[in-house]
Amino acid sequence: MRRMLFAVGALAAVLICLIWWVTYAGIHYTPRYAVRPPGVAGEVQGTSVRLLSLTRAEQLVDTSEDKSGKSEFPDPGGVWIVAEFEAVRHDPGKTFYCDIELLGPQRRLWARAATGVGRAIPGCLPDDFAIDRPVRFEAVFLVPIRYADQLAGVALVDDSTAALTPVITPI
Amino acid sequence: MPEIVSRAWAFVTDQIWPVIVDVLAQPLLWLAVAAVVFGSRVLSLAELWRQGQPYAARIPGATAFARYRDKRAFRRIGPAPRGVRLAASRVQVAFFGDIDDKYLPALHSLRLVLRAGPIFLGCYVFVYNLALIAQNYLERLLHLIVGGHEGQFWVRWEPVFSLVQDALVEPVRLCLLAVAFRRCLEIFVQRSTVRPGAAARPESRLPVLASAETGT
Amino acid sequence: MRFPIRFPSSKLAGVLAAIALVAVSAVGLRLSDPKGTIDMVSGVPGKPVTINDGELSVDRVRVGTVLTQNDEVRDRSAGMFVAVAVTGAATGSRELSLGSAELVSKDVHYKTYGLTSVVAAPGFKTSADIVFEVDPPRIEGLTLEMWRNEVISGYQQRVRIPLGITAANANQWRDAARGWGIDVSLSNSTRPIP
Repeated sequence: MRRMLFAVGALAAVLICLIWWVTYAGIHYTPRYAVRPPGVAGEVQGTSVRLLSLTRAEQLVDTSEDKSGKSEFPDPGGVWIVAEFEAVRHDPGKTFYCDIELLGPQRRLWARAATGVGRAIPGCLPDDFAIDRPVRFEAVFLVPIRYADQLAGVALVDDSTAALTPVITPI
Repeated sequence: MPEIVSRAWAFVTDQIWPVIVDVLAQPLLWLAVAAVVFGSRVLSLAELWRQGQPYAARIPGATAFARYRDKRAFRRIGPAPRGVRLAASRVQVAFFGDIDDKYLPALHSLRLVLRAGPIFLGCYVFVYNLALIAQNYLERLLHLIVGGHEGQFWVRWEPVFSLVQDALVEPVRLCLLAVAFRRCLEIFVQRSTVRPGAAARPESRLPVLASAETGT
Repeated sequence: MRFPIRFPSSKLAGVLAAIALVAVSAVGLRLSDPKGTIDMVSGVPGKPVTINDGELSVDRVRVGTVLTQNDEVRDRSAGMFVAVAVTGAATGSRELSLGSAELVSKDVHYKTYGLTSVVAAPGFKTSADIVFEVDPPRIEGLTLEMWRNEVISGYQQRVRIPLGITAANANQWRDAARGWGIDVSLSNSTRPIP
């Protein structure tokens, strides 16, 4: 009886360790997301970031002060997604590194696209965020057309923490 | 000439040494560990006398048949001064107290294993490595079933696959160690009973192991 | 327990038998060692090879002794340049990233000329020219191998596509390369998967 109890106890200890490790590694190696209600800000790197709008565009037009009239079309099969944000940095000890990605179906992620078109609202730069001052910035993404209507929001990525990645959605 | 030497050295370090360590030394050391773990009268120096081992025969003055002047040199005549005895006992505990507890058991376990004979050792090493080969092929089979994945996948799931392999192979390996150790003991007993005049000899007082005797 | 096999009483025979058993064990262990094994996924030029995160295909192979870009000579080779145009498509939900590549010919492994990687976001495909500098006498059976670049790797998947250079046509490839320039696009081009 004691031998059986010892064997069962040893097996249980092994299984507990295994389950703990698989869960712990899954938490730390697999991205996890927390979708915020529409218009609610997400916290990342000492900064509150709100998604004001997420707009689909078949053509990216130059809206900068120069108004050169240039426009850029997406590659065939793709569409532009223009996201407008408002961010307020409130922790002087931290820096917002503008690591934002568009989250699609089944955890598909797209980084910001580099375009050659000037825009009225500037892009995101870490140096632009003074303490307690709202800053508006814009990010442009290129996504395949078939996923354009299945977007979950914009993920505020911070690889320095294992906490859930906030996903902000537009108002 | 240096080229030949460096090539020979590279051959020894790349080919011969891994074989000695992985193929030969590992099974033998595990068998010695099994001998220590399974215990069964791990021997002190005093017990070696009772088993008729010739160890003490190599220590001058340690046997009943040694020359008188060797015996006198080996034994202390009369008690030493108190301070010397105190220092000696502390030195003995510090440097020799572990002999019977740690080093002697390991040494005699290894000796027991190596004295089993080349045929037995060769067969044991062969069967031990067969178990390892089986484990290797089991790992290959798991790889074939699961397929290739990125490093993060293996960091997470490798312990599960290792458990599957170990659960199948480790019991076999432990049984092999137990059976091989049992066979080593049998060989040892057979050889001890075959040799004539291997009756118990009178214990000799070995001052270094005075405390070890009382310990056993 | 009696030992079931009776050996000759000669000590030398026993030692030789032990050595033979150890030698057989060593060979068996070496052959069965799973470390360094790779999940090789093979394909042929022109057809996509399916891997974990998507597909990879070899579109064309060009050879030459001069590398040009935008009509400017970038480099010349005393041997031969081989430019392999590949397309990687991220057909799954994760990014396709193949950051390591080699050309293998029998026992020769050629590293890439310059930095090379094929990275595609989900739903996109990326085309790139991967350039190698090779020794002309050793090009028979040249095979492209590409895999994910990782600091920590386990049993890893690797794509393997022979380029179609055989002993029968190797001379033709060498003749085609002599004095010929290859204009390579060393920056990747990316577009959505239709």
